[in-house]
Amino acid sequence: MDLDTALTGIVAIARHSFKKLIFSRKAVITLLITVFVAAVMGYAGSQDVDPLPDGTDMLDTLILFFFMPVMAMIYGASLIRDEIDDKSITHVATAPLDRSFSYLGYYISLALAVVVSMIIVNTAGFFAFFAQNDLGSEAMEVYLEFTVLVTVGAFVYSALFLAVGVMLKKPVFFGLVYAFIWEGFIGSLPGAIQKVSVKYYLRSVGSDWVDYGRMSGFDEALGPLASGLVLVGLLVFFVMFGAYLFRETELA
Amino acid sequence: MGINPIEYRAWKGVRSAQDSRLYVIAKSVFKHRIRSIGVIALLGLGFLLIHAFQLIFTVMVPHESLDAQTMYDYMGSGGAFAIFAILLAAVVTSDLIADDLANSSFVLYFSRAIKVKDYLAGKTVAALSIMSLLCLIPPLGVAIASMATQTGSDYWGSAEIMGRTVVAGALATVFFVPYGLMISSFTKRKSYAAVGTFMSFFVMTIVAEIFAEFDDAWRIISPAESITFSFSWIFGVEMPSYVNGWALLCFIVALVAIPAVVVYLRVRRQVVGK
Amino acid sequence: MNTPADARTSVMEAQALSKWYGEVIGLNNFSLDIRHGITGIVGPNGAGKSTLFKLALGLIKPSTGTISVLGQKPWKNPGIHSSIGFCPDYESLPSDSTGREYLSLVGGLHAMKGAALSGRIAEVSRLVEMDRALDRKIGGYSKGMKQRMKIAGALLHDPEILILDEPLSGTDPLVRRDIIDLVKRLNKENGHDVVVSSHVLFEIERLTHDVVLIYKGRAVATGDISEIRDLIDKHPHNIVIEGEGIGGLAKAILDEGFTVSVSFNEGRTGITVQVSRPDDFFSRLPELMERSGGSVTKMYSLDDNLEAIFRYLVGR
Repeated sequence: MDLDTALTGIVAIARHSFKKLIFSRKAVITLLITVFVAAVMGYAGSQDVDPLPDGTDMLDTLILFFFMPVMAMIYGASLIRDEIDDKSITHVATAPLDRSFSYLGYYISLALAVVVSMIIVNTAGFFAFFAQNDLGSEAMEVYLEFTVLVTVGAFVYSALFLAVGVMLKKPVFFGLVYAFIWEGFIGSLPGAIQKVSVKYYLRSVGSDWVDYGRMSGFDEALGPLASGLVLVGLLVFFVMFGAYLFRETELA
Repeated sequence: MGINPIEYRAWKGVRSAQDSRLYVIAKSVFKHRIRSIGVIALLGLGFLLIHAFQLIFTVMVPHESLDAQTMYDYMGSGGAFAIFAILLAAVVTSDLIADDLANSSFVLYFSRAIKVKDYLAGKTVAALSIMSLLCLIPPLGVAIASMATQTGSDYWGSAEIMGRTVVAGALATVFFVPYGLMISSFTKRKSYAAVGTFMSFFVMTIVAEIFAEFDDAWRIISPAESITFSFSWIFGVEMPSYVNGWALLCFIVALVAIPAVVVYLRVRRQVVGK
Repeated sequence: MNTPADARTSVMEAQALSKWYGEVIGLNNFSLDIRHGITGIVGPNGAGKSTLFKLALGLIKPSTGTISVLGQKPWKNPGIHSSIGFCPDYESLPSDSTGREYLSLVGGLHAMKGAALSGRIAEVSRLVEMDRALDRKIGGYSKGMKQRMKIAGALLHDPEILILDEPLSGTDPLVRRDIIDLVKRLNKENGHDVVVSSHVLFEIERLTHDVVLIYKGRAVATGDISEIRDLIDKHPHNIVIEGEGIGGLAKAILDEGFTVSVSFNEGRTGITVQVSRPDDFFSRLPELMERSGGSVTKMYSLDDNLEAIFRYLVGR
């Protein structure tokens, strides 16, 4: 199989899946979450708050560590699994394209869709809060820092949940337990146990960049470079693992 | 095979009343859901973690009568009761309408002499029956055990508390079901319905936590907290001062009535057409 | 046009192929050798036709035995898909996409792009008479339209071999006729080899004379369809006769050479006759009725269907 054939196939899958994710009924979820986050942060912003620390904490709690894994789970856990269940995966599985490359196409579309959705949510939440308070250069710096964190997190969580979607027949339940209980609960515990969550490494990277709120005071952080490498390593591992599983899966 | 005379014979039995058809649906759904591993696991875990200890404690520890504060502490505080009720409602209601949407079973139901209200009533009765196995019957059992083992003679007083327990249990039984049915009517996939139901309650809880930092009155929008506040009113235990009784009532009615109307309209639309 | 050398080459070959799903056996020690042309795979529901195709496409892997398509093993061999066009029997089209979007996706997966792809989409959609509906959502297509779209997807990359899994199922007579004509043209004019499955023998008869009969995961017969038709006529038939004066008729039938057995039904209102030559039986029956003085109110054959053929072939 030559590179041009593989790339054409990957682009075809990525384009089709991206359109499906962004323009499907699931896009209503993005819209609802955006409106919801804007409303919540808008209300919070209208109260008597210390803008930079409180705003940063809200971006941290609500967007980065709650809605982002949830969004990646909603989009990612069912992307390939739905196609396997309704058998529309047939046209991909019967294409002259190695399934690992097909998987890469799915991953690219998923990661981009989650990034786009989360940037919209992050932007809406940020402006709903800070527009009522302080929209200076420091606030914009916070916005950019969280945009990057959200982007990195979207790539890693997408890789994880896409692989889970191939591995399990009911990935949404696992995703729910992982996103709410594992990341939400385990990732917040003190001590070494929190290192078995993606949240810990994102928080470690964030603690070096962000100068306000709880994230800046995260004193159990691993260094940003090491955390960054772990995140990249996790991303590569989940993508390769998922591609391997997809290649080996029988599509009966 | 050649063309043969039709051997079909007319049925001359007595047809059941229209109203009783919902019980056919309810019985079928109940039998199906009660065999589900998720439901059995939740009922088992819920009983062990919430009710079993209380039952043993009630029977073993001497007490003069059934006490409102004791029942409130058992059912209301800690939030575990509400969390299990939410989880069970999400699991029980998730496929009740979603599965029928997915496999077009509406054709099966509504090509018979069954009305939309019979269909929904049947599904709801089945869901409520299962919810009552966690939310109503065990607390009632604890109340009865407490009355049976009390040392005092004020049985009327205890009976009154038992009555309040029934009301609290009935509220917990009913509270989450219409919302779960509504989410189930929005999707053809039961897993999405279960996740959607659970997630929406969770998000309401998170919002309540965030807004409560500015004004504690916002706590009533957390379903778990609102039902706990309701229990305190039912058992006559002092409610926190920041809770507005009317706002709480409106929230509870809204969370029950609005989803019920939505699910009725959605099913009707599905059956009658756009 | 196939040369004599081509005629000897296998398009699809299976040797002692078995596939099971837990305790359920999909294929059981299955062997076949399909040559160029149109070949029909005939079997009742659950016989293993779809399992065979999934193995041929590399969607699933064999439990034991081997299968090859155009001389290559299909499992984990995506390259072979450029030579195969597959039309599944199940719904596999994305309902939110238009026909054009679906074909663009399929074309992209086969490394087709640009003007060449657009031109090919137009050509293929005209061929299956879906050009006017190309920009409508697939979710709004009728069953026949979806079948045509699936066939279009299978043809888009001009494969050597077409694998069509029950392409006529659920279609009306007009669509059925169109698909049959299309398949025959594809083979005759364009040289595509076609392997098509069905559970209806007469549908396959209209497409080809080369059939493989598959039953409960096994290949029970291969060859020309006229030989299969002879089997239907030659295998012992069970016929039920009900009427008046049946006893006399039973005696008369019993004296005939083609009769294997006669038995009375419950209540003695009818008889079940097993005959070795059903054609001879039916031609003699009016005379036998007249001679015996009996009259017939109802008569039907229990075995004039494919299921009975399979049971007979498996039991031989």
